[in-house]
Amino acid sequence: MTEETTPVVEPNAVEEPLDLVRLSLDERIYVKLRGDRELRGKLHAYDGHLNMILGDVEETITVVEINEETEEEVIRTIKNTAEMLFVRGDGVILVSPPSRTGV
Amino acid sequence: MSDSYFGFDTTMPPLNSDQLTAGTAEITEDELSKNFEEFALESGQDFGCDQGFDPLADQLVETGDDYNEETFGNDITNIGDDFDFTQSNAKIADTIQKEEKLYVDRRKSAPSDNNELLRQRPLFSNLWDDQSGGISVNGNGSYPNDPTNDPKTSPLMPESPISPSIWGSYHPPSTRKESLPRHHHETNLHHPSYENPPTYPPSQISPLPPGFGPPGPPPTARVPTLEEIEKQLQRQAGQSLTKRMLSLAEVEAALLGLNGRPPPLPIYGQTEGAYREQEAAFLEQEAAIREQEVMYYERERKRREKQRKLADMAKYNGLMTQNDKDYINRIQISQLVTDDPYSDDFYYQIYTAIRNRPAQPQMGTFSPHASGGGAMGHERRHRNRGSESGMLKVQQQVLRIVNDVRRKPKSTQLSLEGALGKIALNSVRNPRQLLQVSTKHTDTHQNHASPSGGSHQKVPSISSHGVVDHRKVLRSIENIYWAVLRLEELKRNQEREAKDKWQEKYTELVNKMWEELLVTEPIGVSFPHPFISILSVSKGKKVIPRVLRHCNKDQFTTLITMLVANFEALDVCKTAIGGSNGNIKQSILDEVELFMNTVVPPLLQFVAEAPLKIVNGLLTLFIERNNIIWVAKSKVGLAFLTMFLSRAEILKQGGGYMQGLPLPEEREIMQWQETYNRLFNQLQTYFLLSFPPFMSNIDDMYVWQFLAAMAVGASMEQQHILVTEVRERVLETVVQASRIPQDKATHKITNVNLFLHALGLDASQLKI
Repeated sequence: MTEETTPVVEPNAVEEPLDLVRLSLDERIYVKLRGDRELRGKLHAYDGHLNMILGDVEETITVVEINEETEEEVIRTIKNTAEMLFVRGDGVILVSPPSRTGV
Repeated sequence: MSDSYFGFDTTMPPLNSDQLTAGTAEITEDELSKNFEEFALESGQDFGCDQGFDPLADQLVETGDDYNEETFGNDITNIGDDFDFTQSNAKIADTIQKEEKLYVDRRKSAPSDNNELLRQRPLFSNLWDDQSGGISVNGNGSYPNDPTNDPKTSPLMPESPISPSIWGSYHPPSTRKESLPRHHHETNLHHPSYENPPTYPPSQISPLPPGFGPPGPPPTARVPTLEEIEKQLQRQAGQSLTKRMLSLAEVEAALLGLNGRPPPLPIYGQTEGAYREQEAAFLEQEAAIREQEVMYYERERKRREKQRKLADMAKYNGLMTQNDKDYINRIQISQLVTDDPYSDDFYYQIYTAIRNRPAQPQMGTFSPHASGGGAMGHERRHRNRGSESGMLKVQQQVLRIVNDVRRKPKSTQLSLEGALGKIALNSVRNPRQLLQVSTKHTDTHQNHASPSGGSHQKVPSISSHGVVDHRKVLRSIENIYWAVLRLEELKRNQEREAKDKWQEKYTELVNKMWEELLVTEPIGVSFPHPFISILSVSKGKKVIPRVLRHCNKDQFTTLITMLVANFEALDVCKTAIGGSNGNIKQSILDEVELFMNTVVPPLLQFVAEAPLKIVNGLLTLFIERNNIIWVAKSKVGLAFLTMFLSRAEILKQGGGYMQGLPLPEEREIMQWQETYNRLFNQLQTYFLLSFPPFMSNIDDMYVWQFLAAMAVGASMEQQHILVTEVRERVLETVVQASRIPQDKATHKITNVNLFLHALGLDASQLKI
């Protein structure tokens, strides 16, 4: 609608949040999920629920373990890789497009 | 076992010869038994012996013959006398004796036979003579009417010198028969336990297989007799008979086997332990049988239970009418019906396409245009004719349902009269949404798509230093994809729409796509050119082949011109040039690979059909707009140069004629030569720079290809310069090839030859 009312102003590439995800298609993105999980992978597809198909995924799970004797918190990370992954949207906390350097 | 073995010989002559030869009997043995038969048959006196023997056998108390009747099928006592030829023989005894005489005479006339007989007979006559003397104790064996008891008294015999031996040998059967009953008595005395073996519970006897039948009288008792015979035989016959004796034992075994009785030998060594083993085996068998029974009952129980359940449920039978069932089916299937399987069930469609399987008209994606399902359905019907009508019915039903659904478009909302709100209807295509995402942006894109929108709107914003906003490039790429996908969909559904309407849609989409490609943006406004920016993103490269499928010749030309004009700004040219050490990041190498596999092939195809004029123009532009020395260091740059050079060469040689192109005009060739010379002059002294570092693992074939293309078009002088420049590399490569494994070396040599052949040389001519 904005284009019609103000035709002189150039349309922005990003008009709504999901556009950012759209532009990240076929790029490696970072996804933070509930349960202290993080994903890095190539975005193949997504939908309005932020269900996503990711390729070449690295999953990082952060586990905090409390040592019973010393009561110290030990932070451990578990890494998994997957060739292709379907991510259900209800677990997604944030999606970050790849950082760009230079051009 | 109750019969003597010579008794067998006499009563069952016809079977003998076969059985004997079947065994390991030797020829002599065979003959021997035959002789026995002959003797037995030749004289009625033999049968007289039988007569005398019969009552004897009846008196025997034998064990283990309880099943004889079963085995032989009739009562021994009522055998009848069909087989008893002796009575009639006795009547014709005179005749037989005459025959005997004749026979003996005949024997005399056949000396060879006689010799054989002579050799053997004495042995037996002596044997039997001795035996009869010893055995006559029994008394029962005397045959008052038997004239042959004393051979010498026989009125006929004295004439023949052989006859004594004949009669002698003829004796044995009778005497043997006498002796045997005695043995049986012995047997029973020695083994009274066998009368009623305690190891055999009666219950177990019945399931016994025939081989395990109640043991006959153990032969142990008889062995001494046999051994005696053997000894005597050996004594008289010496070594030559040892073999025969063994065979005799075998003969007996065979004969007994013939009688349907178990041969005695296996049972021979059996002890009580063996019986226990048998018993254990039976217990096992019994257990197995019991187990089977249990299983059977279990099965039976289950079956009954199942039947009971079915009967229980039977009261609900017929509760739903066919209509009800159809209704339920319709509800279920209607959810799956889609007009557009490619968007609603994209992955299945692509999967099947990739698998090269014909998309089956399955329920999930019952696409209307495939619903004709003709070929498939037909095929399937052929496969199982049995369910033909069933299949047809289902197909028709599905078709009807699909048509129903299509007639009334799915509503996603329902507003009841008087209600304040709307009730959302959820379906498999329209699930309850948790997140409402406005679809406004697609509208705006479509507005953009209208050609009237003016291209100035879509010029990517240029930041102060002239760099195109990367996000705008990405958005353009997304829009290209959007347009391409729509175009592909349109192509798939081409036959479903009216031609002109379809054409209109198609053109509109192509235009939209073309605009989004940003090819026509003026050069110089932004750097790099927006189109080059698109090509610098991997998904931008990937979409190019799909874009070019919908482009016309002009668009093609424009696109390649734009590409060539801004070539050195391409990421695959700019960043893919190794430094002095030739190190290129893997990610960039991947991009180069991607560019070579996606963008280059359609362009190559285009150039391969272009007339010289266009090739000439493109190369000129290439040289003018780019630092050719720089570009020639990149793989992609060399690929383009090679492409132009080889195409021009083909056209110069009239190769375009095949493609329907007119032969290039003289002027065009002149122009080309000029351009070529320019290129050569620029690249001169830099040819070696095109090579990747010598020791790197990069395959330098593309460089040799380029050099070959250069060499073909070069003048003699230019060729000389070329060779001088790259001579070093050629020699190095050939030397290297001689030190590396065969397959790699061959590849290297082939590469070098690409260039050398263009000059009319070959690597093998080089002297290293």
